[in-house]
Parts: sequence; C-alpha cells; structure tokens
Amino acid sequence: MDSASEHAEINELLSWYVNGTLESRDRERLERHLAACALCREDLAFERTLAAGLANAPAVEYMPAPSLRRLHERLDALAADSATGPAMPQAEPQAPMATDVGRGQTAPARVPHARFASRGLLAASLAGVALALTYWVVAHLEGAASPGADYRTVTMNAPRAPRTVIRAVFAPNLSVGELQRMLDDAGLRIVAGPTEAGVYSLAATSSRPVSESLAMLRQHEAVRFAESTEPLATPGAEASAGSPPPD
Amino acid sequence: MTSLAKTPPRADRELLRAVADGDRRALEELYLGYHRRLARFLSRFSPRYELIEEVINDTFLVVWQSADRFRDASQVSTWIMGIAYRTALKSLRRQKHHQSATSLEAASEQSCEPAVEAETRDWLQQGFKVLSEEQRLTLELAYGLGYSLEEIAAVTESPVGTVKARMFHAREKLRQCLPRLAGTVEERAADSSWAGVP
Repeated sequence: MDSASEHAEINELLSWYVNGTLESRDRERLERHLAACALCREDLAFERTLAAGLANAPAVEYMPAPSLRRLHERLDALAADSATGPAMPQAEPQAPMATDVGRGQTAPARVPHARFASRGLLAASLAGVALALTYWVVAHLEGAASPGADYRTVTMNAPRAPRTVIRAVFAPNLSVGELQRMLDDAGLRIVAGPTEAGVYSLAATSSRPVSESLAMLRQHEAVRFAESTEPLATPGAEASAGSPPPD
Repeated sequence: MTSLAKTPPRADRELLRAVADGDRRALEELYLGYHRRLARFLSRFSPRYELIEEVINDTFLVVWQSADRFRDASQVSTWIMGIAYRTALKSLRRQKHHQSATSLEAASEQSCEPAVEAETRDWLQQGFKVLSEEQRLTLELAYGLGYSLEEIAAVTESPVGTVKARMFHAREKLRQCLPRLAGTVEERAADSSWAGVP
C-alpha cells in the first residue's frame, strides 16, 4: 500500500481511535502512522475536541414512567383498535416531531359526519362507537384487550389503595430498615405493594405536602421512580415526575 | 462510555422473545433499560423532552409490533438502536422539511461560528447545523454513545465505508465551520503529544 492510501485509510479510523473501540491491530497501525504524519496528528487533536464536546449530552430531564404510561396508552388503543375496528379513542395528540411509525395502526379513522347519509345510519354508527368504547373501557380495565392479559402498567390501571398519594419503586437491595427510615422521614407509609412490577402505594402520615414528600423520596438513590397519584399544585410538577432508571 | 457489548445479550434476547409473545411487562423492562440511552442519544437533536419521548415511544411501538421478526443473528441492542436511528432520521427530516424556506436560507447564510467565549459543546451545537442528519447521528453514535465502527454500520444498516465517509466529511465540515476551534486545536496539537490511549 502506498503512503497516500495508507494515510487516507488511517485517517478515516481516527474517530474510533479516539472513542477507544478500535481493534488492537488497527490501533497499533494507526499509532505507527501518527508518529510520522503531522496531518493525522492535527486531525486527531480536532477529533478529540469533538469527542470532548459530544461526551456530555445536553441536560435532559428523564421521565421514563410517564413516557411509558403514554406508550401503554398507545398500545391499548392499538389492541382495542384491532379488536373492535377503527372507531376508538385517539391515543395521543400528534406532536410536532412525531414520526409516522405505527401511526397507521394507532390513529383511529376519523369518520366525517358528511359521510353519513341519513340520521338512522348516524345513530346506528354512534351506537357502534358507544359499544366499541364500552368494550375498550372494559378491556382496558380488565387487561383483556392486551396480548398479555395479566399485564398491568406501572403508572395506570392499577387499583389504587385508599389514601394513596404516591407510587414508587425502590432498588431491590434496599433493606427494610432503610426503607422504613426513608418513609418516616418523608411522612409516608406503605398501604399496598409491591405489585409484580415492584410498585409500592404510599399514603401520607402527616400534613406534609405531597410535593415535599415526593421531593424527599427523589433525593434517595434507592428510589427508582416516584410519582404523585394526583396532579400536584406546583406548576411543572409533572415535568419531574420520574427519576431516571439506572442504566 | 457505552458500548453495545456491555449489554447482557441473553437478558435482552429473553425479554424480546417474551415481547414477541405479547408480554408487556417484558416490554416495560426493555423500555426502562433503553430509555436513558435513547434519551441521551436524541437529546442533542431536540432540547424538548416531549419530542424525545415521541421518538422513543415510536421506536418501542415498532419493537412491540416487530419483535417476532427479530433474527437471532444480530444483537438485540443493535436492532433496537437501529429502529431508533431510522425513527430519529425520519423525524429529523420531517423537522427540516417543516422549516420555512426563508428560515432555511437565513440559517445557511448565517455564520456558524459562535462567540469566542462559548464552550466547545455550544460551538458544536452550532456546527451541527451544517451537517446532514446521517452525519449528526453518526457523530452522536460514535462520541455520544461510544459505538465502534462496525456497531454503527450495523445500527445504520450502512457499509463500513459509508460510516467512515460520514465521519470524515462531518469532521471536515465542522473544521471549516469552526475555524477558531480548529485553530485552537492546531495550536494545541503543535505543543502536545498525541501518543497514548485517549
């Protein structure tokens, strides 16, 4: 291989030398070339700057629990749609960045009123819609519409224990003593759980605001996620409803 | 640095088989296992979480619908990231399409070199505007998620040569777009040693 080809080939590998994924044979070859090639050394320095700039992702608040709930809503709509036809509730509004993946199946067919030639036909169709909705609600509540009939989402559809104000998932290695202390500090007690998904229902033991108890829970590393069962008074509280799950 | 190889393949594979059988709990596990990685991958392309969520949920909708078509020859993580890549690509193209001609012209005319005091990542955020969607996503896969050349080729379903070319051209575009940054680098390169594992 001539030196120009060698240079071009090596130069294209610099990114993976920088991110540390290059095979050892290529890495050694690249390092030998670098010793003799000032251009590649310059490019390498630039690549390292790019890598440093891209190493830290922009700050994003991760909210897996509410996002997962919305995915389940779409799947529920999808299951109900396939079971009862197209006249089902809209799963979710179209977001500006929404892609059309799966939209064909999830978005219900919206039937314009002009399509109905007579009032009788309209009434019959509305009755069909009502039946379909009833079926969807029942199926939704019983979990019968989904392929996994015993499935229950983490964030919705679970029967709520009385006075539950917060639902939370804790790290499996959290000891009972630690859990108890954490709950005592936050003015909470367990009223139900854990569910199969590991969700505990928590009730308040004091007059402390739920938002404050929630904030205290979220300070603990052992809290995988915690969310209020009711909308919080604080504006934007929903925006911080989920703690990031561990990678 | 994240690597595809670090994900236990057996666990993911079992989960995906369960998903193919209609087990939504398995889907939840997969979702929670990948959510952070995907959110990070997508965060540079939109600061709005709801838009990031849209792509993630679209990705997992496809996972739910297509799990039975997964072939054991590939890694589950590669398969899922590949779906996310294509979903994100489609979304980025749609975003670009929605921009008005005026704003596109204005963007192409404006300087991509930001203020001197801006930090490197802010410079890069500006520089990203001159890259194609494929180049941006490839850069993010390599430096944001730490994927190898072969892994990126698998995720993007592109030949290795294409991935190399995307990275090469991205670098060249950014160098032209960010001369001040490149100059700083070149000055540093003259003084510093390149040797050693980065």
